Amino acid sequence: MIAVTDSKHLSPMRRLRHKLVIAQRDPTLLIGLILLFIFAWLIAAPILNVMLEIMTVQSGDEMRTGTEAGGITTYYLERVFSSRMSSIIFWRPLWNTLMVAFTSMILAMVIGAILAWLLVRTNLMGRRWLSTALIIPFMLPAWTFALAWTTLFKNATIGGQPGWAEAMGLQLPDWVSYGAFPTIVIMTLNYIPFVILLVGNALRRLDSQLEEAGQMLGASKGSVALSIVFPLMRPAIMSAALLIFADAIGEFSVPYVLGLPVQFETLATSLYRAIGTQQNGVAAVFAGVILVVGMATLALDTWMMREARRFAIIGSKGAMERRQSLGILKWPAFSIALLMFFISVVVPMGALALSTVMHLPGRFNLSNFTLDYWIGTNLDTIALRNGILLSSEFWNAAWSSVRIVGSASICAGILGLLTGYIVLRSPLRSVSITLRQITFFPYLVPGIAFAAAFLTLFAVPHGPIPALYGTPIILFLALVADQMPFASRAGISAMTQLGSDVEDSARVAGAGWLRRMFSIILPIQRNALVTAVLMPFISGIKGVSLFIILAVPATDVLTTFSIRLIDFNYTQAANAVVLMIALIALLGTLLINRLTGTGLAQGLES
Amino acid sequence: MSNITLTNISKRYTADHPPAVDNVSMEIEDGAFMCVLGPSGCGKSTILRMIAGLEHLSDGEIAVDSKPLDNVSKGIFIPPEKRHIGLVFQSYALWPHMTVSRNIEFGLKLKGMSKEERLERVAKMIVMLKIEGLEDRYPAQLSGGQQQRVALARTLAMNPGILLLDEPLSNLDAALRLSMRAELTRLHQEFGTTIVFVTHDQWEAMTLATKIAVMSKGELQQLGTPDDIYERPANRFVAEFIGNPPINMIPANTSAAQTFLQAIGYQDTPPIGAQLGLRPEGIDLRRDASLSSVLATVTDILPTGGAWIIELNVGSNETGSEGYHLVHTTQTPPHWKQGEVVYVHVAPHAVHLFSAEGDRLSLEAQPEVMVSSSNSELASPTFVQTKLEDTP
Repeated sequence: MIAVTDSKHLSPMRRLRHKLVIAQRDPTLLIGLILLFIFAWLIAAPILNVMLEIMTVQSGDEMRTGTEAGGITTYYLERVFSSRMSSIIFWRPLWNTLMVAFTSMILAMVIGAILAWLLVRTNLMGRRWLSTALIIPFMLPAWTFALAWTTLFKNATIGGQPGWAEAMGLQLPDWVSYGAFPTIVIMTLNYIPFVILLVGNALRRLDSQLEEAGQMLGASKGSVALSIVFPLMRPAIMSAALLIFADAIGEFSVPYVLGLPVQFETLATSLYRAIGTQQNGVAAVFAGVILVVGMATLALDTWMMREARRFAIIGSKGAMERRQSLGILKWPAFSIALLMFFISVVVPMGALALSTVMHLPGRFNLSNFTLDYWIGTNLDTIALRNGILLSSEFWNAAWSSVRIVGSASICAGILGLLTGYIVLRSPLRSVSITLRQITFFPYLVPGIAFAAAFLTLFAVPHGPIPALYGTPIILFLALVADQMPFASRAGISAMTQLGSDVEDSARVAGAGWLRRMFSIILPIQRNALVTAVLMPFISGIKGVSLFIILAVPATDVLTTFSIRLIDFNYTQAANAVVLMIALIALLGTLLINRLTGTGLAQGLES
Repeated sequence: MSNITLTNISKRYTADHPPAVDNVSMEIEDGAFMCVLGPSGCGKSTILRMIAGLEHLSDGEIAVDSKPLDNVSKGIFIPPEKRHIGLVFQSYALWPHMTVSRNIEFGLKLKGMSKEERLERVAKMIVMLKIEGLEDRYPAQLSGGQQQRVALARTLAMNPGILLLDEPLSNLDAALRLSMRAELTRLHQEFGTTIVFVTHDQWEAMTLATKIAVMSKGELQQLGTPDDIYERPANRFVAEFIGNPPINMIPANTSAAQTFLQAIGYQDTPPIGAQLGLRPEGIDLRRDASLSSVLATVTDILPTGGAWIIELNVGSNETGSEGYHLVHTTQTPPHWKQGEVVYVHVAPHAVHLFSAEGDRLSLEAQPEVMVSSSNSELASPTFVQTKLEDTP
């Protein structure tokens, strides 16, 4: 044995040198730092900037604030929070936002949890088929439903073609046709699948032996549900509720379509209006408020999840699955589930689809049906004189949608997988924690606020970066940043499952970093990469918020194209475009499910 | 073909935790078949990974053939991909997207070997490790034993001077363990490779290794041949860790212990807090009393198939105390009954004395005690599980 040297008293410099030598041999740390830099620029900088904008005098506001542009001011804060206008421009929309978000969250939770239980824990008829069918609304853009609603229930308050109900002679009051009520209904329908996925997964993992153990000890079914199942499910339920709430706060498209005719404003639509009327300072305040509410909600979720971990369910390995027999309730339960499918899929999709082949809404005689809006030529409209499938505008918009969203998704997918790699392999824990958090950050920021943040940062040149507004690049960057939560979660969960042995063994066999990436990691993670690309693609192609603020006619995409058609009252054509978007999103999701089995649910979970 | 020198190596993951490896030094000679043995979490796998380069040192030096691979004070670190050391993972870590042949071929390709050479080498490995017919299968289609053979083939194909094995037999069933053990021994002889493996399983260590390093809590406890470790444990930890059933420990100041010590000719008074260790198979039970025997009661007899564990209680009727529990093993069918009173005799080589701190105290320079012909069973120290070795 060799005598002990005083190696414990090595100078810190020596140790640092050794660490540097090691770091130099392995690019993991370097790549981690590069990723951190990219995300600081794409995610942190826009959000910080929007916070600064709140206090900065915008050009054009010198007179109002009495300070030159770029100076510091509290004018915007005062105007929003405490001016004579603030009850109209802020407090009312804030109340509407919170009310709509909260109500639709509660409704979705109750209905979704019941459906989840029926699908996972009972012998519900056709549950395999229903568990796919009831998820479909999640794959469709939320505003598809809003358009379906207007198609069916629009009244005479605003011009244009009447809704089907009106055309059939039903006089509908405004509150049915527009505003809070339909917004809540549509958002509830849209969030129910989300609850089914999250709560259903948690229920599936819950060992039914735990319930049986309770029953063996003499507890009734009711008290088992109350004292065993509910407490164990609480983390999943709370988490689903908060995620829905955070998402609903920033929802733009539904209140935009349904709220406009009755001046029903939410924070998101107010923000859009403020940007549209060049009130950038006020817009920054709105964005800030949405941001803070979203972040507070998600912080609450993180805190609760940490609490929940204290009673992680033990022994889920031998989980038994036993289904409860519905007995006499068999038919009622099946009818409810089927009814949900009709309300949330068949009726809205059917109405939209039918509306695109009818001249006048709600009239079901043969002469009223036409394929003109799809493949007609020389129509008697002012613009768009061809059916959408024959119009170059549609195909241009479709192509640029696919091009912009596609390239952003590929980029996000690769960054996501790299993020997953670094998060798990980084020698510095701080790098991996920061990366994990910063890539999740856009999730806290509703799309509309994020778009506003991007606009304020990239609309003007900064250093070597020219002004990007009006170019596809700003859309591309915003999409990449906005989709990082999904992409990085997909990457992290894929890399977690891989484990380090497989890569280490290649390292020992003599493979350098690039070789390991291309010969080992990427081939093994092929499916994960496809998911990490497709998830952002679907979410991007159906998204509205980013495009409505960042796109200009030169960068027309399918969503902005259809919104423009709505604004022009070309209802049938707009609906046809929306159907095409829904079709792309649906096909993409089915592709993911085929590739990964439960890709969608997993992507949501982690 | 290479010797490995570990000099005062330490590994600390975080400042506030005790080090995973604490100032360990050892020399692993060229062609050695060395085992690092210890309970889980003792730092043995960390040592293996540091030799491979998958972990770096916090202190000290690892050198192969006097060439430093990792040296903190000199700022040297050779990455694993440049070390040309073979490592077989406990999980085997086969690449799931490559067939068996592609798995074996991968490293050769990186070496820049020509296609013909590669195929030839792969074919040779497949024959040597008896995995013919599996060439085009994917790892998921192989059994555990087959996966391990592929992992070995993949590593041996690179012809490494040093072969590291992480728990090489632990994932295999009993029959496979035996054949794999024979395989490893044969490979060691055939290639003359320096082999280092880690395990928590003493049977694996004793039957495979030519040298064993016993570790606990990141520190090296003892380095020696299997016989050294078993017969002359350096401290109480080693004595208790090696041997199945574990060594009996009784306080050295009890009258039973005193009698045993006198029986082997130990004249001194053991220091305060000292413990006497008795190997279960080094005890002999007799009907007749003698000056050097201790009265005991048979409390239980447990057949283990070909061998028996006899549980005894010693010294209970002395002072009304509960007495001490002793375990005895034998390979001859016992003719005792439960509750029967017997006399316990000990063989000198089965007795160990440890200080209160756990260090070994010398019993040597004491006159040898005559071993009567009746307990010839005690003459050769038998490791209880050696019977496993005899089965083909």
